[in-house]
Order: sequence, then structure tokens, then C-alpha cells
Amino acid sequence: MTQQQFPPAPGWPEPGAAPGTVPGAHDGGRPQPPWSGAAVPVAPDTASGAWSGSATDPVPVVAPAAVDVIDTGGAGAASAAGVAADLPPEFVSEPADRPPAGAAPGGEARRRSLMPWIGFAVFALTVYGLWYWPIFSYVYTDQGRFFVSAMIASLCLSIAAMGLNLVAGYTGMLSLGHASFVGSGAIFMVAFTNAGVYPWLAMPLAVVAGALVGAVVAVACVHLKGFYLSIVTFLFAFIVPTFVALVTGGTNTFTPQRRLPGLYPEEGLIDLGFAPAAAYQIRFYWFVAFCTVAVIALTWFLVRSRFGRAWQAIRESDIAAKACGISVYPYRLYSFVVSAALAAFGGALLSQDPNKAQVTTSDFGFLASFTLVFYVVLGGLGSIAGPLIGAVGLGVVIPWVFNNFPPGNPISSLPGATGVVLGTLLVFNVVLAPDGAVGMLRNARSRVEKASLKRGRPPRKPKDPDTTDADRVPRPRHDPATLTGTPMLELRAASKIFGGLRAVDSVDMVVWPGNIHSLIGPNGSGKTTTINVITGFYQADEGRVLFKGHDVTEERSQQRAHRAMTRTFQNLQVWRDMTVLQNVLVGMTPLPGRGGGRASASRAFGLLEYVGLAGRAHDKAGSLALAELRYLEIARALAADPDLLLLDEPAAGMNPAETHELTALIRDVNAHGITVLLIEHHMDLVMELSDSITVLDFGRKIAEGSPIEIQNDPRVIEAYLGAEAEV
Amino acid sequence: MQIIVVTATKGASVALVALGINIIFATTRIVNFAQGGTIVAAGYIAYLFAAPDQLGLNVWVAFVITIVVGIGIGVFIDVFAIAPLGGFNARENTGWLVMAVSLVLLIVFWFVVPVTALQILCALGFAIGFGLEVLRTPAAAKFDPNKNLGWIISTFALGVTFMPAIISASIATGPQRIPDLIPGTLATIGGVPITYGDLLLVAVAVGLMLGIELLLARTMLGRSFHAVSQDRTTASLMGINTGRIVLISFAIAGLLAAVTAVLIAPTQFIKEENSILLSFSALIGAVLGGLGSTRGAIVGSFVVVFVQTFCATLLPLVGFTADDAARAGDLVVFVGLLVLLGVKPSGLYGRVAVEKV
Repeated sequence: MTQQQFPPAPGWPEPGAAPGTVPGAHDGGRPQPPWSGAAVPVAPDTASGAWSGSATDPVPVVAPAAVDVIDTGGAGAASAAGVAADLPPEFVSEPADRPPAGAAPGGEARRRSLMPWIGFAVFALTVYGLWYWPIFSYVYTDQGRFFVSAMIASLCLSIAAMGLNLVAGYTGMLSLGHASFVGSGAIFMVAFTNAGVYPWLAMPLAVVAGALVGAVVAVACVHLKGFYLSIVTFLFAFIVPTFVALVTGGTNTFTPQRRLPGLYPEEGLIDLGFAPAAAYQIRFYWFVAFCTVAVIALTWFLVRSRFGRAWQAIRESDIAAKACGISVYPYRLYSFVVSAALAAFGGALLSQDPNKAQVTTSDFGFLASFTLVFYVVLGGLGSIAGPLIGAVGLGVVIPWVFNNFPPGNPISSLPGATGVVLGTLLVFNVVLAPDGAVGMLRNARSRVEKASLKRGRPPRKPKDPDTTDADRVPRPRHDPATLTGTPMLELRAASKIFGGLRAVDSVDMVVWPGNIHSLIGPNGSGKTTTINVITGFYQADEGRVLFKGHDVTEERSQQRAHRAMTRTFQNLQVWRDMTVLQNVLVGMTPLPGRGGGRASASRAFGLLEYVGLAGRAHDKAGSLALAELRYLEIARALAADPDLLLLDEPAAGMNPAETHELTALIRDVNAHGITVLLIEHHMDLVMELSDSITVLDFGRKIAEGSPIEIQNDPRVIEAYLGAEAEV
Repeated sequence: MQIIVVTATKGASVALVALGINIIFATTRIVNFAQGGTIVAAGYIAYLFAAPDQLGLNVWVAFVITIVVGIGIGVFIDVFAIAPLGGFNARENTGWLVMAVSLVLLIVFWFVVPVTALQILCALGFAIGFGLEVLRTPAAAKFDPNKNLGWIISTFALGVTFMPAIISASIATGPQRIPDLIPGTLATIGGVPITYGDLLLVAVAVGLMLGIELLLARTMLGRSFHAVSQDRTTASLMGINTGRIVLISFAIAGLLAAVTAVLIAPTQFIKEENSILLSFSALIGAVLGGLGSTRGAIVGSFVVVFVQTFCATLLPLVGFTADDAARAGDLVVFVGLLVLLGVKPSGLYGRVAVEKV
């Protein structure tokens, strides 16, 4: 058992430093990863232009020198993207007649700087129109009255739909009973005000009460998988009116005795038989519009926060989420409760709708729940603006069309016509635009971008975060030198039993700090099961697992991740719908006191530079090639600053050249002080890297020792190498 | 005694609906919210053919016609609203496009400019498009039901919005009845009449259940069903036409809906609310038994109906009103389901998916 010397870390290779002697051809235009130390000129061509070269210089010019490739890293993209990069891409639409890139840099910059102003002007005009138009039209026309009343109801429901979008779109839990939380909010609001609570105080109370109802439902159903959760929420919505009727002794209707003061100048009782004056309607409309904007901003921040990323990670793969230290159950619970609170807020607002004399439970049955789902899906599941677009489209635009078309004989006056037309439209919508209105807009934008890419103009990319040298290297949480004497990892007679099969049979194993320890064995010998026992995906049935001297046998995988033990997966567990950078950001969850922000982004981007994926930081992870996905998993595992990194067949599916690069990467990771436990079938890689090797066969340890000892061990040759005939 | 009789008859009809929901879930992983709508539509079609004030055909003839139409509706739901989801392609789905265009024109010539000749022409075009799409036997929709929620909207839109509306626009509205298939009462036991209709319902239900069980367990088609329900990709690699299997599952669901509609129409009214309540119980039954398991759907349905009937019959004896007793029954069922799912998250007979790390 050889203890590796520390610190042998060569540190970050200086830009332009003498090329190292890493062998291996770097074929396929793969960018030169910084850790390999070699400097082979990379020629970014347009075919693989999106990612060839870590300098994402968008103009396909002459290949930059290799030094530049390393030096500029992500910063190159920032400078090239120019002024527009400062703006989020959503606010900059692609002008159709932009001059070719590089033709007139000054003119382009000026044009680009004009776009946000045009966008702002359109936005301002829209706001102005929505703000003042109702006043005039409401007073003078029926259309205006229809618009205001329909808008009020739709906006209230759009707030609830935004809540639903959080669970269904971002966390991946389809609730079919969200109207029951809307109903709870409305009923509590009315009940509290009628009990004498000041209405402005009653509103937050109603939201809290609705969130509590949501918490009860969440506890009952969040543990359920897939559609079972939907069904339980659906049945819940079905049962709520029954429940309310049982509790109140048959009352299903609640009449508010008092409305929000300020919006309704008269204190006390309002005679609801008397139509409220126009001014009240318009004031309430403004108030609801303001609330909608506020909730949109809230969801925007929430989705981009640590919570939002964790939710999306759970939606995509809860296994990877656990490996990254995310406790799945509480996050799903938070998501559901926040969502229920938003729905209750929408309901509390709805109960104050001037056009509604009372709140009826049947308004919040399963039909209303489905309406909310319609809003979210037709607008765009998992997008911020989707629920609003869906609510206004279905709640205002469609009824308006039905009431006015065809002129003289509108659809809504014919028996059955509304249902037939609406049903047809809905089916058309989901078949022809499966990602909703927002999906259609996105498709249109990507088509424009593709067209401009064909004409030699690269798509605009978000700005890359600036990184420091420290961000670009892996760093263990503890210096392995401080752990002398204590094994990094120790298995004491650990067993895992499936039925009658002892997949891991009382295995003893010790991994010393700073080492690269390999776990090998023929197929089905229990290697991956051992990793799962070590990382807590399986609980050991017998024996103990010790990590840095702590007994972690009873701990769950996310707790072990928090102890700085991270892993990669043999069958990749990447969050494919999230960007590469977001994947790494979620990997930082186990870091103490890390709540997002600039520093995290820099660190995550630095690690992508380290593994050579910086050029693809803003692409969806699902678009990566297999080898890149393996590097992404390594970067994500490194993001938690692990003391122990478990690599489960990292070279599976890689060609020899890629395997060689990987060897260099693992060695460099280890050189920075991270202990590595490696499972691998590529024997040359194992023998080249390992300080020590454990061999498993049929779940039992059959040999342990240095690479030389293992290669000469007769039992190993018999069980494993003899069969495969290659060392 | 009343509890037993009601449980048997109502349980049989609920189990038939649950079977329909279940067979579609097994092959597609979606819950068909149009099952209730199909029952309504089938019921009104039976009414159109059988009621004395309508076409007035023999009830049995109407029964057969309704079954054919029910199968057609089931296939229509798949072809029009499920199969094209997530993979619509204008070049391949020409039949769908023909259906869509004729439907739009039909709406125009029906509601906006009513011209009977053109209506018939559009209906013909619709039928041609339908035929094209069925003959093409499209590949099963490639979408993840948890991410692409279009299926909720399309099945709901067809079942709850489209079909009842088109029925009310063309056939009739409001509760209707059709004559008994076999009139008369067999016996009255303890004051509870047992009609031939009740017997027929139970007999047909049991027969269909056995038939479906045998079909699934003994035939090549059944094995294909199991293959598709376990892993659609692998099934298609083994040469199974997954699209056709899905289509057949929708056809069977349509058949079950039609049979249910005709058998319950003489005793209960044909109306929308009844079908909704029926599908509600059926859904609980299917989930209770474990979605995807035929036996689970049957057992679950009878359990649900028994509890509901038990509460509705016995609670009024201790002072509850009839409404409250029914509500309490629903609540008991719901709470029981929650507890069961807490212990067994995939229902009584549900397969537990093992996650591979």
C-alpha cells in the first residue's frame, strides 16, 4: 500500500507553457482540455462550430493559436458577443436584415444597441395600452366591460396556474387538483373577512391557510411516483366540495360581507345586488395586474435560485439529484407547498372579483383543476410566461372570439357549438404545438437563429462568467495529508443481499487518502453494487461503511454527498433539459454555505474549462456526445469539492484516444489531492493509474494489491484476466 | 341484501369502465379521460337507435350498432388525439390533416352556414381521413406522458368538451332512457327486486372480464400487449407493431364503454353526470387495484363500490341524510386509498418499478 507523496500537484498549466508530453491523437476536433497540458492547434470549423475550441469565438476565422485556445477560455465568447451579450437573449430579437458579421463592426454594434430600445418601446406601449385603454373602453363600450371582467378572472387564475407550473413544469409532479387550493384560498379569504379580520390582513392569512392545505396534501402524495400522484391530487379536488359540505353542514356558497378597503372605498357591507361602479372594477383590475407581474418576478427568481435548479434536477433524474446531495422528498414538498400558496393567493384574489357575488365550491372542482392544467400546457409547460399566455388566451381571447364571431350569429349562442369548436381547437393545439405558445415562439426564434447561422452569423450566447485560476482546478475539501492514518474509505465485511443472491459478500476494502484505488472484476461481479453501497444508494445489509473515519452505514446518499463523497454513473444520469453549466451548478449543492450567485457561476464555469467543456456551457446537456457527457458528470462531481470521487466506468464507450485523455484527467484530478475510487474495464487505464487495486468475483474480494501484484495473482488471472486474455 | 345487489350491479359497470381505463394505461401510460365521454356518446347513440320516439329499432340491434360505434369512437380517440402527439409530421399524418380540415369545414357548414349537402361531403372527407389514418396504423406516439401533458388536454377535450357537445348538437340533450334488453324481474329477495337487466349486466361484465383475461394470458396478441406495456421500445424492436397494439387497446376500451352504456341505460338515465360519477369510481378502483393490472382494476372497482354502497345504505340508519351518507362514502374511499398508497405506492396489484442506479 503506497502512500502517494503530496503535494505533487503541478498546478494550473500556465498559458503558453511548454507543451507537456501527453501522448494520444486528439482527433475529431476535440478541444484541447487544459489539464492535458498539450498544445495542439485546434481549427474550429463551422460544421462543429458550436463547440469546437474552448474559445467560442463565433466568427469562423483562421484557427487561433493553441495558446489562445487555452488563454481566452470563456472570456473569448464574451468579447466576441459584444454589447448585446449584456442583455438576456429573451429581450433581443433577431433583426432580419442585419449585415453580415464582421462587415461593419461599428454599425452592427449600433444596431444591436438599438434593439433593446425598440423592445422597451413596444413593452412600454403595451403596458400603457393595458393600463389606460380599459378606463376609456370600460366606460363607453360593452367590449371594454367584457375585457376588464374577463381579464380579472384570467389574471387571478393565471397566478394559480403559475403555481401549478412550478410543480408540474419545474418539479415534474403533475397535480390535477390545484383548483382545490384556489378554492381553499378563496373560502378562507371570505371566511376570515366575514369573521371580522381586516381584509388586507386576511389575504396573507388565507394564503398561509391554503399553503397548509397544500402541505397536508403534499405529505399524502409527494412520495408517490408519476401518475399516482396526479390521481391522488385529482381525487382530492373531487372530494373537496364534499368535504366542505360535510364540515359546514351542507353550505357550498360563501358570500363576502366586506371587500378589500382602498380598492372599495366604502367600508363595511357592500350591497352586491348593486353592480359596483366602473372605478372599482378598473382599480381591482390594476391591482390584479400588479400582483400578476409580482408573481411572475417571484417565479422568475425562484426558478433561477438554488431551489429552482434542485427542482429541475429532481424532475430530470432524482438519482443524480441524490448523488449531488439534494434530499428529494423535502424539495418536492417545498415545491408543492409554494405552489399551493400561489394557488391560494390566486383564489384569495378571485374571491374579491367584483363580478363575483359569492364563492361557490363547485367553481373549484375537478373541471377548474383541468382548466388550470390547460392554461399551463397551452401556454407552455415549464416556462415563466406560459401560464399567463395560456390564461389570457383561453380566458379572454377565446371567449371574446366565441361571443363575436361570426357576427350576428356568434358561436356561443348555438347549442353545442362552443364545446365542439373548443374541443377541436384544443386537440389541434396539442397536436400541432406540443410545447404550447411559448414553445412555438422558441421554435420561431431558433429557426431565425439557424437561418442566420447559415448566413455565417453565429447565434448570440449568454455571457460566460469570469473565472479565476482557483476556479479552474479541482480542490478537495480536506487536504489528504491531514488525514494520515485514517483511511479515506473503509468497508468492513460489507454485504448486499438481493433475495438469495449475495451481490456483495462481506467485502473488506480500504482506500487510503490521496490514492487512486481501482475496483475491478468480471461482469456481474458486484462492482457497481459495491459503489452503490458505498455512496448510499443501497443500504448495506451487513457490515459497516466508514468514510474519513465516520460510520456512514446508516446515512443516505445525499448525506454522504454532503460529507464530500461524490460519484459519476455508469449509465449516465445527466439532467438533459438543463444547460451544461446548470448541471455543474447543481453539483455544488453539498458545499457549505453556497447559495448561487456570481462566485458559484464562476466556479462552475471554471470546472467546465478544466474538463474542456467551456464552449458548450450554455447548451442543453442532452445535446452533448457520450464522451462529453462523461466529462460533464466528472465536472459535476468535482463541483462539490469532493474528498473522495467515485468513477463508475468513466471510459465506457470511449475510443482509445478519448480514454487516453481521460487517463490524464483522472491523474490530474488526483494530483490536486482528490482520492479516486475507480471502476473500470479498460485494463491499461486501470494499471496505468492505480496505486492499489481490489478484485471482485461473484461479490467476493479475491485479491488486493498493487497493479504488479494483481497482474501476477493466479486467482485473478483465473477468474478474470485468464478469461479475457488481455492485460 | 340491497348492499349485495347494488355492489354486484354497480360494481360490474364500474369494473367495466375501470378495465377500459386500465387497458389503455397498460399500453400507453396515459389515463384516458375520454372514457366517461365515450359512455355518454355510446348511450345517446343507443338512445338514437332504440328509443321508441327516435329510430325505434330493436334494442338488440341497437346494442350491436352501439358496440360498433363505440369501437369506432375508441379508435377515433387514439388516431385523432393520442397517436399524433409528440411526433406529428404533416407528410406522414396526411389522414389526420384530412380529418382536421373536414372537421373544420364541417363545423363551418354546420354552425355558420348550414348546408346539408356540404355537411355530408365533409363527413365523408372525415371518414376518408379516418380510414387513411387507421390503415396506416401509425407508430405509437413517442412522448413521455410525464413531460408532454398534451394527452390530458386532448382526451379531456374530446371526452368532456367535444363529444357531449356534438351529441347535444345532433341527437339530444338531457337525461334519456332506452327500453330494457330483457324486461322483467327474476325475483324479489328481501324487498329488493333483481331484474333480468341486473343479471345480464353482471353476466356480461363477468364474461368480458374473463374474455379479456384469457385474451391477455393465452394469445399472441395478449403477449404483445404485455410486451408493449412493459417496454415499448423493446417490443417494437421485437417486431411488434406498437401502434396497432395501442389502437387495439383503444378499440377494446371503446367496446367496454359501449357495453356499459347500453347495459346501464335501462336502469339509470343516460346523462353526463352519471358517466362522470361512474368514471370517478372506476378511476379510484383502477388506482386502488394498481394501474396496469387487469385483476387489480376488477378487484379495486368492486371494493370501491362496496364501500360506497355500504356507507350510503347504512349511514342513513344512524341519522345521516342521504346526501351526507354518499359524501361520507366517497371520503372513506378516498382516505382508504391514501392509506393504501402510503403502504403500497403502486396499488394492490401494481408492479413496483425497480430503479437501476
